[in-house]
Amino acid sequence: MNFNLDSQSRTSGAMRAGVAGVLALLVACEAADRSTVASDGPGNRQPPTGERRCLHYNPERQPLFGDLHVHTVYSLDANTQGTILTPHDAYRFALGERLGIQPYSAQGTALRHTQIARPLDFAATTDHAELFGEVEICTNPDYLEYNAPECVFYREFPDQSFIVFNLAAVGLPELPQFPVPDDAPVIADQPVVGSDGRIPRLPYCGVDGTTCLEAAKTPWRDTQAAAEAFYDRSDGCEFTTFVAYEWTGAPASNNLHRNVIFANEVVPELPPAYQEFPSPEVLWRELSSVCRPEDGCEYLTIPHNSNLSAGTMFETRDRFGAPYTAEFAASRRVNEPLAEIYQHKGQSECLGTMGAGAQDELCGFELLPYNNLTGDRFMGFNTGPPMEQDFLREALKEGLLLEAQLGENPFKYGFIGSSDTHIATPGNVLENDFPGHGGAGMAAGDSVPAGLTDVVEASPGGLAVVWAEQNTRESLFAAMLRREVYATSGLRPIVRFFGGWNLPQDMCAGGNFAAQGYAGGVPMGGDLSAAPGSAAPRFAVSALRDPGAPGEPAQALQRIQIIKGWLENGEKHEAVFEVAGDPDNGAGVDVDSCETSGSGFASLCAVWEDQTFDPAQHAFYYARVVDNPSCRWHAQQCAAAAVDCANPDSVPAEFQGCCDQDFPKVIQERAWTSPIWYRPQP
Amino acid sequence: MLAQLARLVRMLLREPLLHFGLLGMLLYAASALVQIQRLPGTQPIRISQADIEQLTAQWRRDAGRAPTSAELEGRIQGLIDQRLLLQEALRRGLDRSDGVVRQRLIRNMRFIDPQTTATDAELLRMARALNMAASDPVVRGRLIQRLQHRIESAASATDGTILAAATEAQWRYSFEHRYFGSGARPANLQPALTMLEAGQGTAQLPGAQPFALGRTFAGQSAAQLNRRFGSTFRAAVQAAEPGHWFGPVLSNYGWHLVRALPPQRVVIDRGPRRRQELQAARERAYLAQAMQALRAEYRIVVEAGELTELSL
Repeated sequence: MNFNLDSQSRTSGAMRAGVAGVLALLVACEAADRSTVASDGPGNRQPPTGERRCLHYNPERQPLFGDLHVHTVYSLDANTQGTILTPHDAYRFALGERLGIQPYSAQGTALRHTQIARPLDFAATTDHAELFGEVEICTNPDYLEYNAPECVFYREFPDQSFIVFNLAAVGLPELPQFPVPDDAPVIADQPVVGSDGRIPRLPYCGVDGTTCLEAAKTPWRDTQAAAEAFYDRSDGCEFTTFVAYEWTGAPASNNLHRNVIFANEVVPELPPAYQEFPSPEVLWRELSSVCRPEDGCEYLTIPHNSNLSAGTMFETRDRFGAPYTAEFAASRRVNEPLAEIYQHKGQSECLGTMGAGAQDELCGFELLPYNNLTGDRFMGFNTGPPMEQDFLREALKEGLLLEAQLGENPFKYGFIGSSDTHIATPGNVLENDFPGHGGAGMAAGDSVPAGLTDVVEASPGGLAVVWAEQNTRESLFAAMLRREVYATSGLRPIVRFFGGWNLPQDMCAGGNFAAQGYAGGVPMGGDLSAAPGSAAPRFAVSALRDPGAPGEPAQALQRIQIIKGWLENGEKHEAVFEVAGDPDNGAGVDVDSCETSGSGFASLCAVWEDQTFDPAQHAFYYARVVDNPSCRWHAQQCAAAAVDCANPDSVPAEFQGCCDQDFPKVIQERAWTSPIWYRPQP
Repeated sequence: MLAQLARLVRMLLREPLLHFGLLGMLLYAASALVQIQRLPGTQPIRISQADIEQLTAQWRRDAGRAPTSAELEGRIQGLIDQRLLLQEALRRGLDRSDGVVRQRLIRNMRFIDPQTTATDAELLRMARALNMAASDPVVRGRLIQRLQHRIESAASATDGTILAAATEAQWRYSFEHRYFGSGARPANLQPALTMLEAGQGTAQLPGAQPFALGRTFAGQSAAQLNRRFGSTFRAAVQAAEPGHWFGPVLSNYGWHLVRALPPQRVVIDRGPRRRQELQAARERAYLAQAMQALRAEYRIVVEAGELTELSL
């Protein structure tokens, strides 16, 4: 989901609190739903047995690269911007096929083409479920409602309908429709008078939205058909797809979006959407009832762009304003083991402004300057500067705090990256050939606009990497549940990370790193066992640079860091440790030519012991692998156009972004591993 | 006398039998008209000067300029295809068999005359007489799409053999290796190679480094090896004598000592994806073929200033 907007503030806390008292009882019931199904939690889940054996099967696991956030023609905000590629096309692209992308000429010829040199190992299309049916009806003359006023508006004014449709469906609902008197009966926590806890769909959707819901089945079935057609069920196991969609809740433009990934082809008849299920916990409750393990259906949800939630993604209260209970915390942990740490709309790792020890200069990477989806529309009205609590490092620390209080950690997230492409090009995430993400609310044109290919703050996005035995849905999904995954900022470095009490000190000496890691500890995403006496935990991290590919240059590695977050006397702390490589290796890049200089490392390895470890403190550790500096995408386009910021009069309007000092021209590509957690024994 | 005649006329006008007769004649005339329209070849596909002006105006609106003659020609051909499909859909009676079209036409007729007491069947016949299928965009679109689907589905119905599973034979390579980094000097790797040859693979090898991708690789295709390790390394693995340590070999990451396992010849079933691609290609071909046949069946007239036959 993209930048949508609105013009009012969020529902008042008082109103929510009023509702809270009435319905607080419900919370415990729904929170328990799924945690009872998988009471052992994803972290303990073992790889599936009895599935087919691929030719490339590796019991010590292998890193598989993919993109789990892809929009196609079925997403309204992609379609209104000229995207006509389908999930089938998206999968072709992921496999390395060259695709024509928007804009198109009047005869329907694509004016641009794009391609990745290295196919992905897996992908999932995640179109917005909310407007599936609405888009289908307005773009298919088969429907009687094709000529409904809303649809005529949709086709004639894509710019405006992007805003109106999004507001009506996913942005507006939590805004009071008009002042609600204190004693008015509020049927649910949604103060939309007349609703039954649902958000009304547009009039052409008919009574209870049935027409749109029925129409939604067509794109949803095609999504499934594409996933089936492109899933390699041969022993070659070259490509895996997942049936998936995006649940697109953004009350008042504050982003709560979740991608919902299904484990296999057994999926609900319709994807539960925000209008009918307007909060994450209601979504999980619905998913757990329409996607049951006993029917062969399994799912997980992945929140993204917490950086744009204006403090709401990791709220420590439920939708009624009640504090977390242990059951509710467990429900969240079980339902969403992963979070997207980086994509087109920036990183959600850290802001680096709050908490003891927070002084991480690398938090400035791809940091969006606002805190919700409104972005810089309306000169900053309805948004503000980014908030620390919207970033995963802070959420992870908050999770430790809740774990100390409740015995359950609701924010136990592994990290993936993805693109959030709105032009149906999964894995098209490199700085040097960024066609724009196509989701910033710009209308479809029939010529390629001059200048930068996107707003300057947008990013090409990242990749999800999964350590799995083989490239199958079963193996990948199991790895995602146990969080043995990491994120990259678009390149393909290889990173292994283990933590344990018995890891050999000489793990970097050339022995079998993986075998030693699994034998003496747990991989990324895991939990350290109970502390044996006074020992300190040891962490081993090994990384290989991305060698790049023709047309896809990559820099050498510069360093590896381990980031620790912990609780001390009930306070949240963090620290960044340099464990390998050299931050002062002198590598650099000339932003005028984008020529890089200096040397780096093809591989790095470190075994690090936490000397400050206290067995009574809750803690997590993750590794960050940082490349030598290179030119950001906009710097490359500015250099190619020979933009001279020293001579402002010479800079064309469409290249003004080149001279915006707020956006550094140099970046350091990176990878973030999922954390390893430690909790004291009670 | 005049008064008598007037009374007779009034009486006749009140006579239901006469109403029935008149209505019948009207319907007969209407259906005759439809019959004429449905005779192939007799009703030419006519692209009027007004059509061309509309296409040009639409182009101007979309592109902000007038179309070139080639661009306009493309648009005209597209319009001809649409009209051919519509005409053919009507000839095949798809308008009578499709629920959506029927509903739409009936709704239109009731909209035109809200007081009408005519039955659905009568309204449908009148709609046909008015050639409403051509003027209503929903009906038109629906009929064209229905016929397209029908033609395309004939592609899968008549030719199953070509859709059989597509399989491909490939070599797959498996190997074990040790990694010595990008800065290693090849000459210094001899001691490690000697140890590996002597079966001391589990020992600490001088100069060895961890390799995050692991030590063993199974079932790799040549393309996979190329992408990950580079073509030099791939070629070395392909040429290796299985079971023996050799090297050093340079990859994208640095220097390796390698022992290849016997390569496997495997047959990969491209299955659903290949079938889907083949099916899509066949459907496109069928549709193109069908359009060609339709063009031969109908007379096509394009008015360009004055009425001229379009050479096809």
